[in-house]
Amino acid sequence: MALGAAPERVLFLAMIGAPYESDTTTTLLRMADAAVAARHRVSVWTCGFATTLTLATLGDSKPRNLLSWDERFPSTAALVTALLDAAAGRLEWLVCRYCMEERGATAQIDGVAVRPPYEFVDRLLAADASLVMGLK
Amino acid sequence: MSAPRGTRALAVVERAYRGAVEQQYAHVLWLALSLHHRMGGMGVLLRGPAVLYARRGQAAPALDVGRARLGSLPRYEAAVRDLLAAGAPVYVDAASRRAAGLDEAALLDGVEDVERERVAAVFAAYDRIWYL
Repeated sequence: MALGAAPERVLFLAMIGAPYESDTTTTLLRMADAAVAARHRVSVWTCGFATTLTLATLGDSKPRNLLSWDERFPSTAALVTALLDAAAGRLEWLVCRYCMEERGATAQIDGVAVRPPYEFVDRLLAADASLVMGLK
Repeated sequence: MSAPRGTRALAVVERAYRGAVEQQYAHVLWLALSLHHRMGGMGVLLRGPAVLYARRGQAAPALDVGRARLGSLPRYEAAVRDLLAAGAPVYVDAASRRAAGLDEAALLDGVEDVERERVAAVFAAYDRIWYL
């Protein structure tokens, strides 16, 4: 550990609720990216319709922009994959099985882990710091 | 059945900032512009926090996600300019603007500030009122 560097912490970030309702997803990605860049270990837990952020059926890109036909825009699934790749093991993206199944969002991308709902509390309490965003 | 060309529809936008990463280009003002291209006659009334979409000088940040730089976050100021350039009026509810602490002078050129008592008259100029 470099002199003066902050000690490694385990951060638990949870997002509950639907994308496209607020900028919670944006905030989540910003915080996870910054924490990983600061060499902390991050667990992201998605609940409710946040489990749809990592649907495999989203593909790599959003639907084409009719007003800018040749431009490509990454899907949330692609952005999470990019974050996982760059994190090199410092980030785990967890999907609540109950919420996922309740919403039929079962086709998840490779690289995320589907976990039983009771692990939410276990992981939250085991972390050095936790933040739960959104409303059920 | 699609709306016939020439239908005048006012899009009332009251909620704002509904997912920068999720929406990127596909935000409500893009939808309004797309509808305007399709059928002509769109107008947009911004209320509540959505009045901030019409502010001049908005930041246009990119977002770093891992090694990727996402430069396609919503650009509401450009979107309002595009609507105006396409002939779609953009109105701002003056009471919401004041509640947001925004001076009328801070609005983009061409955006019309509308006092509450005039909103009914704006509505009356349209065939359809759509809350988007």
